[in-house]
Amino acid sequence: MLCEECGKNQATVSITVTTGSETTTRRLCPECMKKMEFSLAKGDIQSFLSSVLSVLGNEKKAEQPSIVCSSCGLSYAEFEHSGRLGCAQCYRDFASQLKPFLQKIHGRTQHAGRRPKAFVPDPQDELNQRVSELRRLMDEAVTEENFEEAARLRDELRSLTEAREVAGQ
Amino acid sequence: MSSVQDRSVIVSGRVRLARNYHDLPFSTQNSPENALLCVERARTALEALEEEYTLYQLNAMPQVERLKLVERHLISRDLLRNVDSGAALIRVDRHVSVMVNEEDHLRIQAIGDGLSLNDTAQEAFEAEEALEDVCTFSFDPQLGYLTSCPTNTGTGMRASLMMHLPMLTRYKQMGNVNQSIAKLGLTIRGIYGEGSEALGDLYQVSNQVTLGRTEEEIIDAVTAVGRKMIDMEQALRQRAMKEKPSELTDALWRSYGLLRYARQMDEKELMQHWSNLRLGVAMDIFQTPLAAVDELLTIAQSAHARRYADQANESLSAEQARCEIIRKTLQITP
Repeated sequence: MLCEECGKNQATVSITVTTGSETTTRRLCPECMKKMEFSLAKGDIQSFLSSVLSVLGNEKKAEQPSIVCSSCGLSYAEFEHSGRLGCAQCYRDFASQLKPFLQKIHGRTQHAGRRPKAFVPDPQDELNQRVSELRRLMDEAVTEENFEEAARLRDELRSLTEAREVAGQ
Repeated sequence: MSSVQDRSVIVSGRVRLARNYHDLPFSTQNSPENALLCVERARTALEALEEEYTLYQLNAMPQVERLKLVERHLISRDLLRNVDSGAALIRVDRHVSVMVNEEDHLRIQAIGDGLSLNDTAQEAFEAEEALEDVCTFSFDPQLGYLTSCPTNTGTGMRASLMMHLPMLTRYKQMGNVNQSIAKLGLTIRGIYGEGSEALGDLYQVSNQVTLGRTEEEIIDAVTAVGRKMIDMEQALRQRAMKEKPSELTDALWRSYGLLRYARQMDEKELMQHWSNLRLGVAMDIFQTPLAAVDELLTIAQSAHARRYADQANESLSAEQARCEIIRKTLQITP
């Protein structure tokens, strides 16, 4: 997988950011990760976060018609016109524009279901996915005023996030 | 297997999976050479299976033969836009078909007889796994199977039931049904006809949402709605038979008479009387087997009638050929 920041080098590190109920994972190459660490070391938390959060929907980007897929050359404007993406890389290059779109169509943005036989899941990804799934279920339980279930999910969520912190150390 | 009760409302069930090879651009951006490669990969992959598949290459077929595959729901009308590279691999029993170079590299479709959508899905998965053995599919841990259109991404699965709902249509309930199932991530639309008019009172209930739900969840939702609609339709059929029996049976027998004696009929008229014929068979008024009635839905459509007329010795129009096909199917001697 290519780095989501520069789109050129192989991504070898992933960072996960949790804001409210949203969990976002970005995969970066060592070079871009260094740049981010540098801005973080300078105390420039703002630029670090904005870079990470660009995945969550950067409105400024959406207004620019010039975004073009780095692999097949399809522009976002062409996609808006035809409704068809050109290749798998389009999903990564247009990620910030597509996310609200996918949310609107499907109501969810995390895949559940079959996977290719050869797919080897990253345990960290698995854990993050389970955490966002539990959050979603908990929100649904609250909406349905099923507070007993919501409390059970909250406890499960708590033990999972603790496990994640331990694993992260 | 579906019960007789289910079959009186459900015509068929289908599961389709959208898949793309991981190393090629999607169909719209794909080169003709790569499109050929897709066909070759799919052909090789399905050779590994026990059941035999036949390769249909659109550019090597006359238009009327392509349309016959559309009328059998073995390929989509959209595939016809891609005549140069479009192909289909169809299992000889016609229960599974794999379209190549449609909107996605592969559209794997399995057709079953109704509510047993899980069994139908298994048939699609079997073909999918064989196809995957030759080349892996485009997949993202967060977004699932990546498809040309983001409305299909995730499972890439569409599970659908073709339902015959003449009474829900007559009592103008379809609008209400659509509103209530939209909340479940499902949709219902007419299969034949344009806009609001559903010819033959035939509808397709299917999932709209493909991301964030498992295949099982999708199938369960479609099946649950299918069951509910069977109950609603059956209740209205019983009510009509109780309240206005002569009105109902008169309409059904009139249609039967026209199907039996008419000498030319266009598609729209056919669909109207076909609906009454199917309702009559489902309600035990006519003795024609349901399977023959459903087969009529395919073989009396335009391309099939056209082909029949071409092959007949006399100079028949498609409208005239249609009436001959109907009489043959209903086993009525002329």
